[in-house]
Amino acid sequence: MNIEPSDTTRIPAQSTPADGGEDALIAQLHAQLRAQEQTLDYTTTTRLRAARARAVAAAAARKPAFAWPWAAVAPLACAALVAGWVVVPKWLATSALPNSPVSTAQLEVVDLLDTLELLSAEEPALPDDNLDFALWLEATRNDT
Amino acid sequence: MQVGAQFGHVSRPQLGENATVSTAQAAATLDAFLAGAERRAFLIAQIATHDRDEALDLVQDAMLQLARRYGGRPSDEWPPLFYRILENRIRDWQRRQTTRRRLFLMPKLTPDDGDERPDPALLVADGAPDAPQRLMQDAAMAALEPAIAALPTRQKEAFVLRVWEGLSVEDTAAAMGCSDGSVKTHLSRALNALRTRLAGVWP
Repeated sequence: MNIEPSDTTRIPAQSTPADGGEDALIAQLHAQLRAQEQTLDYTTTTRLRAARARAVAAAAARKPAFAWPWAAVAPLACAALVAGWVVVPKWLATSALPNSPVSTAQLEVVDLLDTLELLSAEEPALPDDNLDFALWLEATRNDT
Repeated sequence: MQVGAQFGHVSRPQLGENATVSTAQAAATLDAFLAGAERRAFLIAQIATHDRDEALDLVQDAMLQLARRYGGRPSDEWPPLFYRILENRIRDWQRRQTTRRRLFLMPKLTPDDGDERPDPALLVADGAPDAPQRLMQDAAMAALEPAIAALPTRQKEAFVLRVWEGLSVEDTAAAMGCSDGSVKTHLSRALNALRTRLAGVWP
């Protein structure tokens, strides 16, 4: 589309000769309105020029479209930082509290490990003198 | 002319002089488009508002919105976008005025209110060579403006965009947000109404 400022003679391109009188009216109206554009006073044209300059400056100051990924990434990065610095330490601190379900489970695991260590030890579970006592106790029970 | 499409897209990724040149070209293209449209846009807004300051504000808003939102679009998309923005602004303004009038019982503005056009007699008296022509121009416009203003909104939009701005049917339809057939219908009715209203004034 031609956008030359000096174009004052353009008429609708879709008109056909068959339109007859309508075409003539359109041409007349078009010419009248375009001529009227040239009669604006100095103050108005100056203010229009200033408005145009502001618009052009605003367009030049537009943020480029390729900056949008940063806008999307920034909240995600913030969320990751919050998760790393706040949520995880808080979860660890909570899990270390006494009587908490997590703490109980951890203690059970520690007990199990201790038992396994005792069972796998090479030395006997009970000393020899205790073994004698245990045998005597067992015999006494059988007698009674 | 597609330079406007690179507004803001070219300036950053390219470094140095090329980027500066592209930005300057894009600015020049937008400036040329607005320079060609600003007077027409102002007159359209003035016919709708009957107020020069309001019309200037509306045109400035439309220019800024076009530049900020659509400055990166191809420049051949600007005319329908610009006039659509302007029409929306005018419609918003008219709604606000209607509400204000209802609230404060203010009278409706007429073309005579705030009419700052100079007295035609002064133009004739100053001996300017084009004074008679200017007088005829003003007389013709004095009849045409209220006739356009009296058109229903959609007919007025179709008339302004097709006849005054000279947009194609497709671009007019895009600007009005309707079908090509609707544009033709609105325009035909607008022309019939204008022909009737101007019958006694225009040949």
